[in-house]
Amino acid sequence: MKTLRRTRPSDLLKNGYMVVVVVLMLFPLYLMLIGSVKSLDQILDNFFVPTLPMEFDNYARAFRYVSPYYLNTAWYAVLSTVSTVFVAAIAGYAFAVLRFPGRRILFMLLFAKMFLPGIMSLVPSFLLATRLGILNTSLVIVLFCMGTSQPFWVFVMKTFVEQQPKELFEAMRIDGASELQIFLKLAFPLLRPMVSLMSLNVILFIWNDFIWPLVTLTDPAKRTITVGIFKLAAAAGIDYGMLIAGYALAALPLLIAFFISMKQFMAGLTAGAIKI
Amino acid sequence: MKNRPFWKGFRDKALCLVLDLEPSDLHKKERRKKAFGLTALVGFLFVLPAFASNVVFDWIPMLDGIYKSFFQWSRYTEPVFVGLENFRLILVDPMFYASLQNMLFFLVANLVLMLPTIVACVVMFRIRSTKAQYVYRVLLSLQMVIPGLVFTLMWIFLLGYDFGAINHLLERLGFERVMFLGDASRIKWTVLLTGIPFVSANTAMIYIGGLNAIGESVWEAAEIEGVGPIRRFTALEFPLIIGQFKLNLIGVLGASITAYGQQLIFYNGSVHAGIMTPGLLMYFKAFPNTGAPEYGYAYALGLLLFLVALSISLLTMRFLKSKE
Repeated sequence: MKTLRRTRPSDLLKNGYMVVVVVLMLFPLYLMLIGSVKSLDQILDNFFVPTLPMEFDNYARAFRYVSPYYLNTAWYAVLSTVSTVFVAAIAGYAFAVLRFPGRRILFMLLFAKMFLPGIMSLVPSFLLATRLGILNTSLVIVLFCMGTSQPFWVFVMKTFVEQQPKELFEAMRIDGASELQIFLKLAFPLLRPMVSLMSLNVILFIWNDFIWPLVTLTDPAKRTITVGIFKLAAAAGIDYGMLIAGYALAALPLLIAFFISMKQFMAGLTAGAIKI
Repeated sequence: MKNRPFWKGFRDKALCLVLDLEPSDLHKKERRKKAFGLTALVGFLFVLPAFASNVVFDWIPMLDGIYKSFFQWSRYTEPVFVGLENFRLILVDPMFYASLQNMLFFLVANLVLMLPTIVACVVMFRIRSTKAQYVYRVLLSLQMVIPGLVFTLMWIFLLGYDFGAINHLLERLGFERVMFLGDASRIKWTVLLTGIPFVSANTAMIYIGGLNAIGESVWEAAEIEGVGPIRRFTALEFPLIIGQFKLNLIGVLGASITAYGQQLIFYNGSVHAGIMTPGLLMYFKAFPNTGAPEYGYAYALGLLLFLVALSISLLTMRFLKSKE
């Protein structure tokens, strides 16, 4: 068996291929990072290699523009995560453990929505939000995120609860705990891996979402980070250093979070990938 | 139980479904009472927020999208029933046909471009060092963490005609500048080009999961048997990811038919007909840059796209199943 483990020339080839793929994929990212600390002259003359001196002032100007959008997006993300995750977890628990009239029908209705294309919903959702008077508020992000996330995540939560031994819940019930106590003290802690998985996916979704906030948050003061940088080119004009620094600022928080807690991120992204 | 009318069987089944009882419990009075007890109420309350939010913010917009496709209205006017008029307007709109052509272009391109992801996954999987595999997976994952918009805006900056770094480089090398972003006949290719290296991290994670489904011993056995790299793909690797491939195929078909996000980011007035897809046409009818929105047209086009995407995914599923 030992002979199988040695490195061979074909391994070099495979690694070479993967390096090319990764380099091509990350090339714009590299240009963004080096470009964000270039002066206008450096950008126009010598864009592809790092240059000195570095213009960190680009970031200061970009941050002044981007910082309100940071706060907005963070606020929307926190609200969306807390509400969406809790609602999905408690519903998943009830669908899995409790028995009540209509249970199977309600679940089928939720489940069916997962397989229907979403293209038709954009304009009607916008008009619904208009009629509810929630355009340019955090509710327009939070409520629609909550509603549209339920089919997939209730399904995930339900499946996870079903995999736990039923006796756990039964034992607490016999001890006289109320259903809410059982959920809060037993089921929710048990669901923790799913809760963090879902939180990560909701945060990524809110941070990266573009078209919905673009049409519903028309007030510049309410914009999310993606809408902010989409409109940045007009605000920056010829100040390309600030423009690129602004793009970098949109990517940095999640990038930093990713490298700090890589393990959790990798697990979460792999599981989130199943969603398609 | 003999001579029981057949409809009672149906009724019992329906009752079991509605009341959430086992068939054996259906005729026990006590059980039926319990079905409406306190626990049942609590269960109902627990699922209510999820269900209600899904109905209001997901189901209702969809149903409204179907119903109001037969109405016409704008920002300050009330909906008026017009029958099939919206659909007629779509079918006589030259821009709709231009958008269909663009959609077909992206559809074919996206189908072909499913290949690089599969190749990358197989190559990555064949690298024996698990450490190297992990590093590649981490680097690919960056694509999922960083907003796609950032990549696209960066590309747009690079490809600019006057100040774009790529045109600057082309000129220095003695080539002509290329109008990547403002040329209606080239813009589709530009949109594709910015997808380099055409490896979707999301899809790659799914394929890797499939490839990891069987144990190391099979691969070692294949190696001892002297299975060549191509045979290894057709006989072992592809069968392992065929399920994932089918799902991905359905996803790519649906996404290509309804696509407009990427096109919206690249949109500018001078490439209008060159980049318009049916999805983008729907978007601009509802959110026009100038003038009043035509919601009826947008709704009807949305409904058409919905029906096409849904039937294609159903057909694909049926077709792929019969092939098994």
